[in-house]
Amino acid sequence: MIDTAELERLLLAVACGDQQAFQRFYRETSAHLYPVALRILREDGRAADCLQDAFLKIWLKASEYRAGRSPMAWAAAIVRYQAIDLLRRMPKDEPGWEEPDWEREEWGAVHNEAALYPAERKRIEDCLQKMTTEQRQAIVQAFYRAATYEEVATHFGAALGTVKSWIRRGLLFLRDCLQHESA
Amino acid sequence: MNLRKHPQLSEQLAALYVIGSLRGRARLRFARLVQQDVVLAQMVERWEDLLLPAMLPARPQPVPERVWHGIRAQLPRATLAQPRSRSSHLPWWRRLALWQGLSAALAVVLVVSWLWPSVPRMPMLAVVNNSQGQATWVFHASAHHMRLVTLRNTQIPPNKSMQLWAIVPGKKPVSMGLLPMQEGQTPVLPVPDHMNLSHARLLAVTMEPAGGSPTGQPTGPILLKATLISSQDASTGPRRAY
Repeated sequence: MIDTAELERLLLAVACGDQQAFQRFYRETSAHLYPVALRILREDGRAADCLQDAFLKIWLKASEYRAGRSPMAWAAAIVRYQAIDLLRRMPKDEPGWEEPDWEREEWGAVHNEAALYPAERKRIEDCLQKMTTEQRQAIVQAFYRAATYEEVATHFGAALGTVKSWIRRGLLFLRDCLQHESA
Repeated sequence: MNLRKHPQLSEQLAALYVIGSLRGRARLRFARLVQQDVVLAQMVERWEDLLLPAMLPARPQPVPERVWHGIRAQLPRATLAQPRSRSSHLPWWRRLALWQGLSAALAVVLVVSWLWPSVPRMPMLAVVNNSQGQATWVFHASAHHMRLVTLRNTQIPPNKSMQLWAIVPGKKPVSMGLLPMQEGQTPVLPVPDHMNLSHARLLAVTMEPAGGSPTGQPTGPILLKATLISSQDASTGPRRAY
């Protein structure tokens, strides 16, 4: 596991323009953040471009990082939003796009894979298990693959409104459950 | 709508933003609100902290080398000349006595520029002067990103905001968000999904009610404006200054 205090120290140095600290931050984190882009963009080239742009944003926005919060969450958010922006801009008729391999990316596949932060993963997993199957699967698809409501609806053969309500209610349930767990 | 009066809705929107279900204009509007509203920003942070670390895999996925090369090529030049700590042998230019020091720095910059001809990834530049003609905001932009540096403080009435617009000839102005009023603020402005900034010719600034134009279009007169130029054409100054 990466030392959180060290990452925080590096980010604060990056905020002052320290390029060596930035290089170290990159070496420590990039291989764990790359899968965030890969899972959403589903292709190496696109994910690599995304990671490059995201790390430039990390360099540019390091002064906005607030000490005390998880540096990995902060950096993962930048990668994730960059990937989502790229995904939404992509023409969906690109070759190879129309094979959403839903089965392979089910929660099972993700949860069989060891987590960098196992305690955090387990808390979420436990809460997801308390939801209805539809709600759980809809949230997992929306979250892990940044799938749209439409894609989730098509996958489940459900009405769009139903899917929206699964996801919205599911998220609030998740928040309450996580707060309860940590209390 | 004032989201502060609707905490449940704010919470849902923050979560939808983090997971990515909030899309298009709604996403963009929300991203701007987050920049302006500390409470909303904290809500988003909480969701990020809850959800994002949990999905990271323990097993590192090797990243292609080109990613770091691409990043390094876009960092400010001054310290690029430092030899890479991972090099196990001295590169050829270090072995030539005449090429020590500054020349080595120059050589690295030249090699980097030559190997990565796409270096100016934020190839457009604009400077907006205040009404006294003093340079106040500097913009660096690529087709889909805009970064801005605030060079001096600006005083405006508390019930007003200054809003930035990108002007594409023949199209309606597109809001790029609110301008920061404090020197040193350097936000990255999200460019709308449907927009390619390289088509924009002009940046314009209007005075709007606090929080921005209620209609999505300018409601005040244009106070300031600047032309977006390609920084590759600029003959003075650094190609990039972050």
